[in-house]
Amino acid sequence: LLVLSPDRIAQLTDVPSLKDIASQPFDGGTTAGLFARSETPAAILDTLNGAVVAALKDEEVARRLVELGAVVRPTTRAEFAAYMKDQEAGVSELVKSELLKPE
Amino acid sequence: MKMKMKVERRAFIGAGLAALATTNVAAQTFPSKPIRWIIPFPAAGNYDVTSRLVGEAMSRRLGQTVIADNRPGAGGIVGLEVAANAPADGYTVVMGSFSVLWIGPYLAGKPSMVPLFAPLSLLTTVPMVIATKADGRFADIKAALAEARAKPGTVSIGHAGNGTTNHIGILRLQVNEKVQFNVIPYKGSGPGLNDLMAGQIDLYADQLTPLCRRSGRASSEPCWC
Repeated sequence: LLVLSPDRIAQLTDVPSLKDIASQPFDGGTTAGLFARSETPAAILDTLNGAVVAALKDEEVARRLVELGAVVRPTTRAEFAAYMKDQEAGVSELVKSELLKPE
Repeated sequence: MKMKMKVERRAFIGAGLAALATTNVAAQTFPSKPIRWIIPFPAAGNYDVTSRLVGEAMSRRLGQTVIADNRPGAGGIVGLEVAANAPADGYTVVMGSFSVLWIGPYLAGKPSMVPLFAPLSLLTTVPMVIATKADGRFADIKAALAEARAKPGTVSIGHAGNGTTNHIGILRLQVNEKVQFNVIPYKGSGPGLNDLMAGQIDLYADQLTPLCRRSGRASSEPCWC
């Protein structure tokens, strides 16, 4: 009935997205990313980012990831940080309204 | 006194420059040894397969081996703790998600692990969808939302467990749309999808992949995988 993402997805082109139903868009998929320790020097983080992005853009790797049902999402470090902030803002709202509670 | 301060300041700057130089050398020669890629989940799962595929291609690019290291436990927290205790030199990377770094610790009453890590890049997203039975009572999402708005708590929707991405997706939709579903937690998607197909619940939120594989035609849409 609905894809919990801002835009429609390639796998289900006829299923509406959040934007289609004029609902506030959010990224509701099961998303994985790669992290290093936070005090790691920036130049090393940049090298690692470059290598991950190149790996995700490798045609064979991308093809096999899509076969697993995934959307491949190479990003910059800043884009990934912004994604984390956006998720935190959305979920903090759920915590504040007591919809999400510790077990 | 003035003199002494000057000396100390110079010594401090000297030390700072030396540290910077070491950092630069480390960055220039990086990576000069294998990189450990911690997977905080068991072998053969979706995260594991993704990590190995990407790690292998990354290793070709870096000219160094990337070693996959499965450290499952506590919903991923065990593996993240291993990574957080490794030196901050880039030779240990860890696969994770907002869910594992923030929601998992929150539900367990622990502080967020987000500040411990620097995000490198997103890897993949498996889309989350809301599905119904092909002959269910709602023809489209607007009808389901309208009913949930008009009669709060009468539209039931299942998810895979408290704090799962499935659950969070439902809650965010509820808040944004100002509706109230009857939200039903299941222990994983298997039992939830069984109840959906049996007509016990109206809707189910799930990753696209399990939805297709386990139930065939849980949605009114053709299954792509």
